[in-house]
Amino acid sequence: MHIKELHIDGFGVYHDREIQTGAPLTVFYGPNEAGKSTLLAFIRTVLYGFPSSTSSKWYPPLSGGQHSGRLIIADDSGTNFTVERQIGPKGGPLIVRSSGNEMSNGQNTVERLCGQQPRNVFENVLSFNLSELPKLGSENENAKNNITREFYSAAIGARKFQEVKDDLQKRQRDIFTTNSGKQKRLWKKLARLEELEKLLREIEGQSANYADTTRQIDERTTALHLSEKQEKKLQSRRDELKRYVESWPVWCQIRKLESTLPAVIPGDEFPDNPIERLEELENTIGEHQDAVEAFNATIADTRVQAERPVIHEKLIGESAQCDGLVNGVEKHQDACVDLNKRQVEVDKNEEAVAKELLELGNDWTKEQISALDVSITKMDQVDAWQTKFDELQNRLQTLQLALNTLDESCRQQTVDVTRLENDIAPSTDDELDTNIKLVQTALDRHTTYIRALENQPMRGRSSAQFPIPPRWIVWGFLITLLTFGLAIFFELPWLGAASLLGFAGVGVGLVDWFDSMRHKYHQTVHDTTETAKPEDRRQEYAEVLKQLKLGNPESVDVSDLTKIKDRWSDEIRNRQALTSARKILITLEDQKVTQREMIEAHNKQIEETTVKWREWLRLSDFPETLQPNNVEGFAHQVKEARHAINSLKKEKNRLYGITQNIKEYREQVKKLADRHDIPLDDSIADATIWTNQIKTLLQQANNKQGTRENARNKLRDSNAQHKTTSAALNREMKKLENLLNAAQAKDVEEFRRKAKEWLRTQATIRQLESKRGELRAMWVNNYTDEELANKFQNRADGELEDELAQLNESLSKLKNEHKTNNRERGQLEAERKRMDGDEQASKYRAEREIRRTEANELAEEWSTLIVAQWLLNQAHRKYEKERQPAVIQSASKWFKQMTNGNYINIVPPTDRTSEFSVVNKRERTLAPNQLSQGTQDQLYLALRFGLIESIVGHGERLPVIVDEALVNCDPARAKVAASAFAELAQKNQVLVMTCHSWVRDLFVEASQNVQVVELAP
Amino acid sequence: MFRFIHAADLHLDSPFKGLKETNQTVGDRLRRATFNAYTTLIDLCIEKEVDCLVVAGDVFDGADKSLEGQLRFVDGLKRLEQNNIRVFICHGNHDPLDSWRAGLSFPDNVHRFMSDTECVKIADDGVPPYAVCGISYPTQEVKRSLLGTFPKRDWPEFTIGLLHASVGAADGHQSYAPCSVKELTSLGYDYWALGHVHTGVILQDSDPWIGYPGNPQGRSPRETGERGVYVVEVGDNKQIKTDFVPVHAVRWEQRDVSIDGLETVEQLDERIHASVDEISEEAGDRSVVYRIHLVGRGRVHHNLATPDSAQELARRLNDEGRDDHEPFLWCAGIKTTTASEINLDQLRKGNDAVGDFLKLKEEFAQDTTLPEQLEPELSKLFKARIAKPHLQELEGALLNDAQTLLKKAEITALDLLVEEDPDLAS
Repeated sequence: MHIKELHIDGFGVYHDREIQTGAPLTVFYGPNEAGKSTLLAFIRTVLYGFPSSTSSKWYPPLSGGQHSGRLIIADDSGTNFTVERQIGPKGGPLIVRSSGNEMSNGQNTVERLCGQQPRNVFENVLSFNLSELPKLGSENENAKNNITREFYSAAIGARKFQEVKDDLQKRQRDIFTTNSGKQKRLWKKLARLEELEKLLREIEGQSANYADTTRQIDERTTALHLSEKQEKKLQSRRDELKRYVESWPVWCQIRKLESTLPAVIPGDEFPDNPIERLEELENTIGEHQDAVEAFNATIADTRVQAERPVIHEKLIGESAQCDGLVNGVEKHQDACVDLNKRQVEVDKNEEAVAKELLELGNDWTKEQISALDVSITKMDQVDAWQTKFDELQNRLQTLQLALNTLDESCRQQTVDVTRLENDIAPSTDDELDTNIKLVQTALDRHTTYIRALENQPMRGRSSAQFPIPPRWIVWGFLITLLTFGLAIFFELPWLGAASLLGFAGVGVGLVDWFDSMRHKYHQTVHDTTETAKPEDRRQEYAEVLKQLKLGNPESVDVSDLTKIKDRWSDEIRNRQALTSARKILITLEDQKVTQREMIEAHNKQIEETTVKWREWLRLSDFPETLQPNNVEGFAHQVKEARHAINSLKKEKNRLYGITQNIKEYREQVKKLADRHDIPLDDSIADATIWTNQIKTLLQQANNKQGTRENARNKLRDSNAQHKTTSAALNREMKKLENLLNAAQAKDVEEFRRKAKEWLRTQATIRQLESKRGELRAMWVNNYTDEELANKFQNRADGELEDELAQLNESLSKLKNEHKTNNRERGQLEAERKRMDGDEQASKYRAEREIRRTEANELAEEWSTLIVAQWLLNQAHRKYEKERQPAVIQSASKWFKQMTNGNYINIVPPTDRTSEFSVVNKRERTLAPNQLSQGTQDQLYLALRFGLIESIVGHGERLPVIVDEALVNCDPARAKVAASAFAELAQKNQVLVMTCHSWVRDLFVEASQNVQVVELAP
Repeated sequence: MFRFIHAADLHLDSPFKGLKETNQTVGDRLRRATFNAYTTLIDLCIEKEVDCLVVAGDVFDGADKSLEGQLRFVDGLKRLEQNNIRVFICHGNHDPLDSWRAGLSFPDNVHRFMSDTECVKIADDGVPPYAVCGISYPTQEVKRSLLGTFPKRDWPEFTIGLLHASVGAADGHQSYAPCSVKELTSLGYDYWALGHVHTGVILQDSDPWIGYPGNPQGRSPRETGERGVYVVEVGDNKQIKTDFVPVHAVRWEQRDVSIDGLETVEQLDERIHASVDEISEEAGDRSVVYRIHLVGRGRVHHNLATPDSAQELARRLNDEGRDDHEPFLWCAGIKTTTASEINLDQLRKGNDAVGDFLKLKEEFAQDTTLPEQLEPELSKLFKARIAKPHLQELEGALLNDAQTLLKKAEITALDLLVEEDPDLAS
């Protein structure tokens, strides 16, 4: 097959890319990461399917596009196929087209195109990559082995074939080897198994004695049981003897104690603790007696104090009063000081009163002043008087002023009348009226006449003259017309528009003008009717003038007519004014008379009022000279004087009060002192000294009384205690007496003697009890005192010890026997226990199973490895027999060709040698390591090419991919290789991937039919 | 009404098979497992207040001569005596009469059948009278049927036949005292308490009831699941009601875990853990010893290619701390029979060495003389003095199933030969 084109939709860095690979040898040249490996993966993917997404060969479409692509492949017969694959399950769906039609058996076609070779052949046989063409030319043994391996791999097509065999062997040997294999894993397990079996057998042998051991144990147990019984018996007897021996001294003590007891033992009637009780009573009685005596002394002392009298004792009964006086001392002292101050104030006030009275004038006494009513009501009355007087006075003034005004008016009116009288002409009033009317008529006729005259010519002109419109309208029209013309001429539309506005303005002006003309015309027509016939009008006018006696119309000036008329009109007005003025003057004169009468009446009223005021003053006790306006000042003075008098009175009252207080205090003190016969020095003005004197006396009395009270209390207490203590003393004495009686003793000494004796006997009895108890306890309280006494009664000293010694000896012997038996039984039991427990055996058995399992597993693994190895060897042999000859034949041909006939043959490994050798043209056989580096490379390539031919030589010729295979070579070696590939390219398509320009160039030089595809980074 | 318990194949103090190294705690517990199951059985007898216990042989492994097994067995019987429970025992191929320790004294409540068939009738126990007929193996090798020695029933009492025997085809068990269901039926008994087959099975559920309770404690990876005894209630009209009660102390489990479709070891871990959780859940409050069998084809096969890797997985499972408390969970091993996803058919078409290798393997697989060809290869190990006593059985098994061995060898070699990653997008 021949891949002619690559169409990549999306794969790794490629997206929508087409690459032509029609030439037998195509070099893909581009730097690292340009995508050469991607292309290789792409071809492989299209042919064999997409790898898993977790695979290292997974090239997701990094630049976009669908993860798919197709190859155009020609088979050896030249038929083109399009092989397309898309991402999908199971490697992705495959579509194969031939002549544009999809083939139903695409998978088969692709397999046919690939010469039925699986992917690993494509990858391992047809691809040469970086790891190949290694440095081979080393001399040492390892290197030699490597060379052998490499050539072998090249020839067999499975690069790891030999390694795999080695690996399997190594793993198998790790598990087990027959020779010196004791450290091997399986061996160890088996050895342990053997050991365990042995151990178990031993344990089994031991446990065979189980029954015998059990019997022996039973024998020992019986013996022990018997000896235990005997021992118990002996021990019991020995214990009794031991008790005798141990308790013998106690028995002896008891006997001794019993002998010391008196024949008659005193009973229980003697008081308990007699000595203690006696001593206690004696002590208490002594204490009580001392106390009674002490109380007697105290009572005697205290009684004197309790009966001592107290001076001024009664004063204590008036302590409250005394305290009142003492408290009043301060107040009294203040009063004394204040007295003088108040006297000065009184004197000052006396002076002030005198001064006020002097200011009011003679004859005013304090009483008068006080009686005078200057109250606000009174002052309001005065104010009413004042108002009355003021009103009367004001009225008088008003009346006087009115009279004066009337006088002035009369004088003025008189002047006016005089003047008017002088101005009046000597004609009547009717005449004047008639004449005025005529003059007016004349004036009207004159006007009509004049108008008629004026209208005559005007009417004729009105038809001849055409009214001319105002000038601005004409000018405006012309300018507008000119503008309009210019606009048309110069084709200026805006100017045209402006001129049209101008026309509009002129139009409006013309309308106004016509309207005014029409109005004027109507006026003229009216006037013409009114003023027709001027001659008639003149006649009318002349007649009037005639009546006025003024000549004809032509001689009379109209202005004169007017003047005549005005003059006559004035004359009429003057005559009216004079009449009025005369009337007014008469009225004024009448008023003057009335006014004078009023003034007189008013003066009389004033006088009456003044009389009444004086009467009020007299009744009010005010001085009659007073006017209403100075009553207030007088009242003020009265108030001042009255204030001074009041102040004086108050001061005097206070002075009196103080004096009284001082006096009262002195009297109180004096009275108290008198009541208690306390002499006071009357010469002392200050009563406080007296008070202090009394106070001191009171204190002294108090103190003394307190002392006496204390003494009395003490006396009372002492008497009570004395009584109590005496009673207690009597009680104790009684007790002592009872005690003595109880002991039947006459006195204390006898009691004491008897008591000592009694106590001694009691102690002996107790000791005896104790010893008897001890003895009973020694016999485990199994016997009464009597039984014990009987037991000991018949025994003699020394007899017991001998018996005990004999018994101990027997017992010791028995114990030894028992011990021996017991030990033996223990040993036997331990032995049986060992057999019983079988714990170790159980453990060994468990371990044996484990080791067996492990050994089985290892043995199985070993077997698998050994069979795998065997299978590989079989395959290897088969290869050497069936396939190797063809590979060698083909390789020899290639080798000869590559070496230009210098080497003619390759000899495969034999049973004796495990390496290839070559034969040169001189028929000398050489080992590979005897060859130059270049020749080694050629040999390697020849073997690979031979393999390719042998594998794929019969079917489709498959493309060979050289992926940086020459990168490890020096230029010379690379050249050789490149030439070899160029040679191969004549049969198989060769695709070269390189990032080195020199490699690219080598191939370009080596082949005439080479195509270079530059890949961008 | 009358109640009894039917047990068999106690195999007291016999070690667990198929176990590899355990830690101290688990090891001790496993060793005590048969005893613990026996104690549970005794407790059950007392709790259920049964009238008798029948044991159909193989109380202990005679080959192991475990004295402790015998002594503790007697201890349990003494407890039953204290509770007035009778015991009927027959001995089987593993504990024939001659394997029992002489001088071992059984309590009075126990009736051991000897080498002559005997029928014991019990009439004064306060329950309806019943009879137990049985026979013990005098020695291990009893290959003939013992049924002829049993009397045909001509008495009215409810009758139990007690026998250690292979009834029908005893799968996986050597054939001892063989007989058939028909023969057993013909004797006219009511209940055949059989022993020998380790997996509980009821051969006939009435007239008479015939069955094996199985062993009360599984002892090898094959003896999985619940193990126990039958509690049998016999009604007044002799109707039988059996109730299987598990008494095992430790439960064996085995799970196949497929690596199909797995991409990573983590995913495999997850899948294994899911299985372990399932096992743990099923076991409830009992301890479990389990084996994982990895099967299928997938990418993770490469991670399992060496035996160490499986051991490592097992170690990791056991390191997770589920082994040091009661109930414990112990992985006894991970067996792998996985393969990579290599398309063998495609590889086989290749004209290269790999193709040749595969084609040759196929040829051998068809070759009937394969065991003979392999034997000399294997003999290096199996005929070695040190290995012979221990691996003989394995050798036989391997050669009997030479195809499997060949397949394993193929996978092993191929794993090394085809290093490329040929996985297709799945």
